[in-house]
Amino acid sequence: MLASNASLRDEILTWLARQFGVPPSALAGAEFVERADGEIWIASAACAEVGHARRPPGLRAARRTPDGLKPTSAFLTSLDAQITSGRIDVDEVTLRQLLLGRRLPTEAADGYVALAHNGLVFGCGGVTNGALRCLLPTGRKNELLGTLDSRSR
Amino acid sequence: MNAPGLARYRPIVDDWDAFQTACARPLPVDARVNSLRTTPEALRDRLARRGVSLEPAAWDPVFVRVSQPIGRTYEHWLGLFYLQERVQAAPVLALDPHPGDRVLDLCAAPGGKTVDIALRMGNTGCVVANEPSGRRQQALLTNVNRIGPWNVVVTDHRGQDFPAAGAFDRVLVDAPCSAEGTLRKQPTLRDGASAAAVQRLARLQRLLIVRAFDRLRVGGTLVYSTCTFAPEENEAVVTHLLNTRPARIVPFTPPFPHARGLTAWAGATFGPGAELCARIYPHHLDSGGSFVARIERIAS
Repeated sequence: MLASNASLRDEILTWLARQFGVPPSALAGAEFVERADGEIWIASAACAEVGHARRPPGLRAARRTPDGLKPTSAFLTSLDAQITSGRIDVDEVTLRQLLLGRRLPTEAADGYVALAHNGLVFGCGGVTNGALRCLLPTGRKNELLGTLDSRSR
Repeated sequence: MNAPGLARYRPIVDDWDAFQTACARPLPVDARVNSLRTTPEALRDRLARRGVSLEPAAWDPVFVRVSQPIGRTYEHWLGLFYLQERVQAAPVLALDPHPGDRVLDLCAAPGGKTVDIALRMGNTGCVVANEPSGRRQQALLTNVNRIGPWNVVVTDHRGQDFPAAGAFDRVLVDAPCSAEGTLRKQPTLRDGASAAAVQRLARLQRLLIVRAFDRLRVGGTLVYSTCTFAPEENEAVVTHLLNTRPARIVPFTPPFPHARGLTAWAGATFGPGAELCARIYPHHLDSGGSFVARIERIAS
């Protein structure tokens, strides 16, 4: 069910460095495991050895798509300050538009990006043909919208 | 119902007036800072922009008390902190997890202590967070994902059936209990738990503590904790373990006000070493109540 090996680790570290500027040292001691469905999880080495859990260990980090590796919002959020490229900071007006599902013009190159607000990465975005969209799961989008709305009341 | 009420604890509570006064007050807002993502100082500065003041605990600054509710803030949504009663720090302080440890949290939902353990280990070692109930497991997963440690694996065994899968350095049993110590959140508990509920829970707790102990390596640390005042669910359960396994109670002295464990109650005697356990009442931390026992496995 799970595959973990040095080549997977190299692949992930190379991708994170190239796409998001994350230094490999930020992931020292972490292992990556890949499920048969292409989901990739990050875990401490000791957790990667636990064999009686129905769910993979650690945090879901990415999955394979036809466009390449797609990071999860939770993984990007956990990396936060380590992300120095492929990062787009948005103000609150833009954040609300993205959470409402709007596609907004951007000069960023096509691919996955880390979205940040108030100096903190909050999730994954996608750029296609000069348009940026938010790729947070729907439930998390709605939670964040609710949080912003309650603050403005 | 036969709920004896909290008055039965009057002889054992160190300051009954202070206890009653604290129980009647609203619960302060406490949080555990996500030390993988921020610091108490940085969080204080961020929340200050929202008009929220933050006071770190003198005994551990990652536990902070804030001036107003912060559950619906961007910082909470992001996982920069976990809302948690201050008293909930006690079991993890007793467990004293170290980087690289292999830890079992046998009754893990909703996950506050799981993330506290994981954060103290700094993404190293492994915390096996066990929760058999589907709905409670979902809460556990949501909270662990929001905080984001990489050193947690969630399992779903019945606690009393947790499989042999290598020995753990430390095991936490934060047992299902009559929860009298949460009465500031749930006022219906001010009448105390029924005797039948206490007895039913005590049977389960005895099974859990023995299974947890059996998963511990020799020399390892077991912490048994509840959020109730009932000695039948606390010292009596620990005494059951001492009578059936090679275990000894080792001192746990919390770095904040507390009372010692009971050596006798209602005609029963406890121990040896029951007085080395800690009882934390709502007036001690202006928080909830807790019982904490630290136990060592002394032989195979």
